[in-house]
Amino acid sequence: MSLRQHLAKVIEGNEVKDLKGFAKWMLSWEGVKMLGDGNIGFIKLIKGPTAGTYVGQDHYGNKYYENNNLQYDRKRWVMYKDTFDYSSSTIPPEWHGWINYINDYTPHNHNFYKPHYMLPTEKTKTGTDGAYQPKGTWTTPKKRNWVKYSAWQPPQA
Amino acid sequence: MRRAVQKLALVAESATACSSLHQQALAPLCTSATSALAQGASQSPLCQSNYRGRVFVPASTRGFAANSHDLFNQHKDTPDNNADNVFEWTEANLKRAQDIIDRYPPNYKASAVIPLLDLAQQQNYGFLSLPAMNSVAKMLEMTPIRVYEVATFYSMFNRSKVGKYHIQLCGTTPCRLQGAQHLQDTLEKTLGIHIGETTKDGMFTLSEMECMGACVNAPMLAVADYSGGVEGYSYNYYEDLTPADTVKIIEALRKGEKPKINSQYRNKAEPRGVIQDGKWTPSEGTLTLTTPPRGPIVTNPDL
Amino acid sequence: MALNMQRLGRMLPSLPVSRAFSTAAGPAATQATSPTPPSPPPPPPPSDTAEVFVDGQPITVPKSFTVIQACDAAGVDIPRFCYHQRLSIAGNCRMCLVEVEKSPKPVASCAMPVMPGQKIKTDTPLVKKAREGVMEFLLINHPLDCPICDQGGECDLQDQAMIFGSDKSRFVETKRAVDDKNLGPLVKTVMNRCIHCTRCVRFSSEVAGTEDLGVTGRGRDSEIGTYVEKLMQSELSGNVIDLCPVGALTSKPYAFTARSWELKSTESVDVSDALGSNIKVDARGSEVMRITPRLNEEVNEEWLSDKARFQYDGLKRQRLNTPMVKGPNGLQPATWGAAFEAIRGAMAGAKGDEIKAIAGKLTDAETLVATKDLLNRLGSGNMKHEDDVAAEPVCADVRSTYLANTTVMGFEQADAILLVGTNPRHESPVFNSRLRKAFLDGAEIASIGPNIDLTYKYQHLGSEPAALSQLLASEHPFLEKLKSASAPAIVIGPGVLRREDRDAVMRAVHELVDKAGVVRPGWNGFNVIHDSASRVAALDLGFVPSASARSAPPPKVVYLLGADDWMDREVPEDAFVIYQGHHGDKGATRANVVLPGAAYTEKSGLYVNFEGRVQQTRAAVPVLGDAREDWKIVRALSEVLGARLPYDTHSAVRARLAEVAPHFALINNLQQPVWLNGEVLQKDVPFQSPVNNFYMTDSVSRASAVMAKCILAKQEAKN
Repeated sequence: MSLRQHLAKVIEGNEVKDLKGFAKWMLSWEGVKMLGDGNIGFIKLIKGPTAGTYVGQDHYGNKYYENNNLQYDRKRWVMYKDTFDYSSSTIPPEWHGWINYINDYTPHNHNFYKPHYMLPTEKTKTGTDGAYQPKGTWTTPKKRNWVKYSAWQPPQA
Repeated sequence: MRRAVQKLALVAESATACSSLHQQALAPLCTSATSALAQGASQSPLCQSNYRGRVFVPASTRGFAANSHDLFNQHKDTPDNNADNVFEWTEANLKRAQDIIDRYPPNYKASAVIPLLDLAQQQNYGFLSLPAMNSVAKMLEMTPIRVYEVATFYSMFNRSKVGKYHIQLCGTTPCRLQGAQHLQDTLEKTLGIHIGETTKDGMFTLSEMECMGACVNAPMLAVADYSGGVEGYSYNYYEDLTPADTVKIIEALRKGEKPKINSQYRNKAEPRGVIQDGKWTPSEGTLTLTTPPRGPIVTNPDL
Repeated sequence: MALNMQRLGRMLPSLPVSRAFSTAAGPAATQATSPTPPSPPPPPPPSDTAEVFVDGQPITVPKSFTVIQACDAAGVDIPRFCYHQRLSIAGNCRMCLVEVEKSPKPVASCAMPVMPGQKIKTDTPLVKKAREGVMEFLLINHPLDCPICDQGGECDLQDQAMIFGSDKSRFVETKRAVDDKNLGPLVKTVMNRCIHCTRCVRFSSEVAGTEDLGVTGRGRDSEIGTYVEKLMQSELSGNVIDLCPVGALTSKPYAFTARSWELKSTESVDVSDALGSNIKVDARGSEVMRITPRLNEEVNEEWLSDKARFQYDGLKRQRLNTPMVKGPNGLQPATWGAAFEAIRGAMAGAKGDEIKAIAGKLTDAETLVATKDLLNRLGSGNMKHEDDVAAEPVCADVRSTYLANTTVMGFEQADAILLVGTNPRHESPVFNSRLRKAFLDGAEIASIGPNIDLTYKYQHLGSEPAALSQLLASEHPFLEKLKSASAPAIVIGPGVLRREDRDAVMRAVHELVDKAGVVRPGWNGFNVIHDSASRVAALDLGFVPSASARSAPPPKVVYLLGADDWMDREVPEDAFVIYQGHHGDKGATRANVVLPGAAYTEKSGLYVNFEGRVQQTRAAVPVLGDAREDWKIVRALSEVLGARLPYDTHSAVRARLAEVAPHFALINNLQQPVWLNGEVLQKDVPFQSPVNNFYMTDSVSRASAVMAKCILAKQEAKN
């Protein structure tokens, strides 16, 4: 694959407009982050869009690729949408089985059962303000100053 | 040779019948029941085959409790069945109940729970409402939960309202092999209901039962007649059925007539024959066990 | 069948052999010596025993043992789910499979009686494989939700799956789903996790005696439940949480609040009723997270009443955490010094018996003795317990007249029991389960008193004392039953002690005792039960009005030791009231000075239960705010008042206690009281239990939101 073809695929896979847009993208914070963070850079710029066939996309914008000629456990991969805070918890359950080689079902070839009580998946809140904190957690004032007991208030005369 | 081919065809057909039955039995329970039926059950979003090719049924589609009529093993209030309903033993039935209780030693009164529940079910138009079970418990000096346990265990006790005629189609292997699926299709078409449902006019409830011991005259169905209370109660078998016979029986029941009970084609074991391809086929000679018996199967050559 | 098996199950507790011998022995054996504490009878004759070999090791066990008990006796652990030594044998979990020589298949050891010479093998490949297979079956429909399960970390299934299970399952189909049941405000259900051991079903029908739970449906569709949604009617319902080997039944108030490994356990004693159930207080930091029972065969076995188990959230509400002094604007927070000064000012105007102390339901013995000493030093003998509501105080002279002399364990041997003016189901639910145990073993029970469901069948002889007179006049056949019984017992409830005609009733009972021979050599069937934890200690210590105090003028200063249920005539309008306690309730509202004390989970204190057993609580969590341990407050106050008490340490107070009443030196032991036998009978005033509302009897349970929910749920269930 020539460099031109490679770049074309990277541009297409990452939904950048053209070569100029690509250059601009690479010079943005995202580009710096990709160069600095080898993992996401490798996936987004090297292996991700070029080494296999595009399988599909989930509602986060993560893209899934497959190449059955590669070695076991490297045949399927995901190219995360988010460069700065990419997380495997953004892989929704319908892709989870496919990417972990549990089964061959993706939303594109299988009709998943959606029970009425099913909630949309969310990225993990670990490390964010929305994460669960037990009472007494020092960093959260509301949790830090939990009421240990309620004292009796005498009736006012 | 011809017979062998026929047999093969029969087996193949019953095999397909079985699998389609499996899917159709589930279909009414799928969320999009009607569309699923229209498209064929294999299209139903709930009935997927998993990666090993097995049909896997999500737990949410599990339809029935012990019998194919009650949905839960817990009580759920309905207008027909709640604690405010009234159940009063009739004079005659009270006497019957006393007779039943008198059969058992006074300190083992609780032994009468099954016959008494059966009596209560007959009086209560085919199902055991909460007050009915409570009255049995009171009569036998048992705690109500012990009676509920019995009533939920046995599939012949219904705990939700049934029609006047409770049609129970045998769904076990011998009847299936002899075309019970055709009977089911016919019944569903004739009555316009699926297994576990009751017709709108409250006449018929269709259920599937496990083997009722009439395999020799397969396929068969049983009809419990609750229209006449305890005195008019009957529980009849209709055996050796073709789809046409089934329709006849249903029509007769609907008119209030008494269709022929037991085998539709023979008296005891005669004449010989079999239901084949939805028709009564008289047969000559021996059909099964024609070859000399094999010797004992020896797995260990040292013996 | 259940009943027969149940008796069998109870006859065969899986205890060390010597212990099992003592329980298996009949009443006659122990009667010959002394009823309590039941001295171990001689080992049964050899014909009753069988020698079996557990993994080749010989052991001699009674013939009534099952294989699992023999293995337990030999110290070999057999995994189990459905088997429980206090319940009937069900044999439905199949986890206890062992190999028995000459048996073609593995046998369920819980249901197989031992045979002489039986060779039991518990560590063969067959047993290992059988356990692995059973475990695989059990896990088929068990959800893998240990991370969100409250039982996680203390789950039998989790532990046994780790030890005996396989590392993988061959089950790829969908697990079943079961509706969760609503059993009321105490027990949370997650029925998907249920493995159908039926321990809860057997508990509710056998021990609790309220047949609420059952198995509905069959096969894969079996469900544990009540069929019709309803409240579990038992006061012991919380015990199903402990019994459940998985997380199907867990505690609703405790749900998702703590993990078992975060908790620090403190062995303590319950004070919600006078039985003194042994408890384990599990705390995390300064919070009591839950309370669970502790095994004590002689008191509560391993059961605990719902109030004792779930009232702990009351320890976080309405607490007194700072001294308060009443000013023009009502009670205002103050320092200890200011509070003591206010008391000294008030005490200055009071002389002798004008100072009065009223002990509350939860006061520990140390505080009682310190207060008594203080009042005596101030020249007053005017002290009483708040339960003492009759005009004449209860006589504390003879210990056996106010104790349950048969002892709680002794009731298992009783074969005729007469209840007089008591509702043990509400006054002490765990004790009531003992009575039920006696009933199941064949004891005849009759009651004169409230006609209510006591969870067992009894003859109701009448609601008024007139029935007692009739019984005395031999008008009722139950007298003959009492006379002919080998171990008759009479139980007098706390309601009787509060009647104005108490002495007359007691006299009638004493006559009955004489007539029916309830007290005989080796057997004392005379019992008085109480309903508050501090009652017996108060009587033991002579916390009763002195002779002069009985005719004293109205007091000027009233010292309330956590007393909230006093009679209005006890505290005059113009009296200066000191309230020392841990909860703001009626007492604190009336008080002029509030001294914050420690609740029973925050201090080490001695309590005497109604059989006279001295037991101690231990501090599980620190005291709140400025509060102090109660005896320390009294000790500090004595110094301010110029009547310094001569003890500075806890051990010194305990020494003083032992000086006043020697049995206080014998913690956890029972000192048998000496039996001594002891005017107008109010024939038509019905006997009443003082416990009208089981869920709220003292300041802790009144402050508990969970207990309030229980009351609401009961009311809803009634409507």
